Amino acid sequence: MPPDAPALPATRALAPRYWIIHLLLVGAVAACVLLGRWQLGVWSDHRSADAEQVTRQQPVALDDVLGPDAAFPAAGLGRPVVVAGRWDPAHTVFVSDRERDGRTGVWVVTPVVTSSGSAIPVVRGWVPNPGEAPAPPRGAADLVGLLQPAEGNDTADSDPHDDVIPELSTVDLLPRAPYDLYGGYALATDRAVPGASGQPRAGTAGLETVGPQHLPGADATSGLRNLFYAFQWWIFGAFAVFMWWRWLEEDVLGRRASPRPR
Amino acid sequence: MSKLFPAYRILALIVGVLLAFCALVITPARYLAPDGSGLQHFGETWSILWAVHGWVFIVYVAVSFLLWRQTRWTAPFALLVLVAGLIPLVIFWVERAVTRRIRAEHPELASAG
Repeated sequence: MPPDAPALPATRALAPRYWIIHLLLVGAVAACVLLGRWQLGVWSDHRSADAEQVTRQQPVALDDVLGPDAAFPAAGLGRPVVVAGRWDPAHTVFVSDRERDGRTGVWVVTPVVTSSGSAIPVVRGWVPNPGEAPAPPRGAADLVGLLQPAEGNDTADSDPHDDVIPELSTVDLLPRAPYDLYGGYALATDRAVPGASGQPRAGTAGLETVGPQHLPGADATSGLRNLFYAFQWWIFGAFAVFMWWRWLEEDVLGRRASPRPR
Repeated sequence: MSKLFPAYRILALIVGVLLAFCALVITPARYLAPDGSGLQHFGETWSILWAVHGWVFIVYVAVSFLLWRQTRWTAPFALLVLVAGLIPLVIFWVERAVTRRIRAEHPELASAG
C-alpha cells in the first residue's frame, strides 16, 4: 500500500470505486434501524395486548370487586364490572381537558346509585365540549363498565359550583354528591350485561367511548423475543459502522499499522 | 497461534445449519402448513431458533471481521463472507472458498487449525 500524503488522506475515501461500499453501509444501517424499530413496535403491541387482556374478562358484579367503602383493589384495575342501579341525571358532571385522538374535550360523567346506597361515577363517553352532550339517562342503569381507581387530587377545582371538574376525584365530586362514593369510577361500554335480556342501559348514545386509562402492567416476559430481535438489529447496525470504519482506516487510508499475523 | 480460523469454520457450520433449518424447514412449516396442524405447531415452537441464529451470527460476523483484518481480503470478498450467514446454503460454499484462500494465502493462520 503506497503511503498517503498526510495533508489530504481523507479524500481517498471519496474515490468513486469506494462509493458502492459507502452506499451499502448507509443501506445496511438504515435497514437495521428500521427493522429494529419494527420489532420494538411488535414488542410494544404484544405488551399492550397483554395488558388489555384484563378488560376482556367475564364481567362480575361491581360490589364483588370494589365494595362501597373499600379501598381500590389491585385486581380491580381495568376489570369489567356490572354496574346496576339508578341513574342520577341531576348530578351529571364534565371532566375537563380530556384528549381523544389529539382533540381536547370533556368526559361526560353521570353517577349511578347502586342498591348499597352509594354512587359510582360512570364515564358515559367523550364530547368536544359540554354543550354537545346528549341529555343524561334517567331511570334504571344496567351496564358493563371497566373499573378504574378515582383520580388523584393534583388540580384544584376553580369553581366548585359549576358542573365542570378538573379530575374525576372523590374530593371534586363530594361537594356535588349527596351520597357516599365508591373509591373508583367505571368507563361505560356497550357490552351486553350477562344474564340480562335486551340492550344494556349504559347511557353511551351520542358519545364517543373512553378507553381504559390505567391497566395492570404487562407480564415482563410478553413479547420479550421481539425486544431481543430489536436489539440484535441495532447491534448489527452498530457493528456495520465499526467494520466500515476499520476498513476505511486500515485498507483505504492506511492510518493504522497492519496487524501482521505471526 | 491464531484460533480465529478454526473458530470461523465452526461458527460457519453452526450458522449454516441453523439458517438452513430455520429458513427451509421451520418458517415454511409455520406459514405454509394448514392452521392448527401439528406441522404448523412445530414451526411455531421452533421459530425461537431464529433468535439463536441471530446471536450466533453476531459472533460469526465478529470473527469474520477479525479474520478479514488479518487477511486483508478485498471489501467485496469480505462482504460476501459476512452476508453468507444470511442467505441459506451459501455459507457452506463460502466456507470452502475461505478455507481454500486461507490455506493458499495465509498458511500461518491455517496451521494452528
